[in-house]
Amino acid sequence: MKNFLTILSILFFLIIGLASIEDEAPAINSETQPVLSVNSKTLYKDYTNNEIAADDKYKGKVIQVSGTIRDIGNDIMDDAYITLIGDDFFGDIQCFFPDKSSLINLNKGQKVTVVGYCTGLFVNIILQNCVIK
Amino acid sequence: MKKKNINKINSLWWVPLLVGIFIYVFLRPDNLIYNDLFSSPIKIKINTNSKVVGFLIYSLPNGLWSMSFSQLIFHIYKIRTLKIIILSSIMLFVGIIIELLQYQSFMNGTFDINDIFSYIMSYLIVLFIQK
Repeated sequence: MKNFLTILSILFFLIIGLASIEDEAPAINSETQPVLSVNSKTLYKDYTNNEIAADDKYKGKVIQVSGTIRDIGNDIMDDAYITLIGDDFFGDIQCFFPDKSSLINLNKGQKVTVVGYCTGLFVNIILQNCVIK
Repeated sequence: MKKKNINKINSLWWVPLLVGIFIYVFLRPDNLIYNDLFSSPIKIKINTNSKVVGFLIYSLPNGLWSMSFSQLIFHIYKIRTLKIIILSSIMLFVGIIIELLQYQSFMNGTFDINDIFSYIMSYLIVLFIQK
């Protein structure tokens, strides 16, 4: 019985402990004020021009990005995203949304403004915890 | 301390846990993993520029969590063998390992030496109570 209680206690405290670790991206809602605003092509250009300078300017900050939607979908982890056109080929700003319902009424080619937490360049430029402005 | 009193204090293992949860829910910003599931509509705004207040809000809950676990283990077994002392220190080591992983950027979150201080102090307090 004591061993069972011990295992249960360990699991209980591990769950509480791990759930209390900081999520990398801060929660963002419609009232969150972005640190700066930029359009998707400028953001992409800044990253292709000098990734280190762009990281210094955008990474780890809540930013507002305006642009045209190239794609809407779910990634392999079933996280909903849209991509905003960064250049004329494949360069995109990939914006992940915790709330899928906010993407239902969007269409490819539509112009949108997104507020999200920039985590830098990883194939695309990634914005987490996004909301549509 | 008398054994009866020690057992009484250990039986209150849930108190530090509740205090820690209160701090997390009402005083911490919503950027923690559990906030994906739950977020308190009520937030108490406190200026965290002071080092003491910063410690109370950002580091103390870690120590309280570890302290609560240690007390619970002593409460379950009601003895002080080496095995139980080691068992009661599991969350202390889990907490320190998490901090070190954060320091090495293997894990989300911010490494803070105050967190480690909080873990160690709270565990020492629990051990002191068991004397």
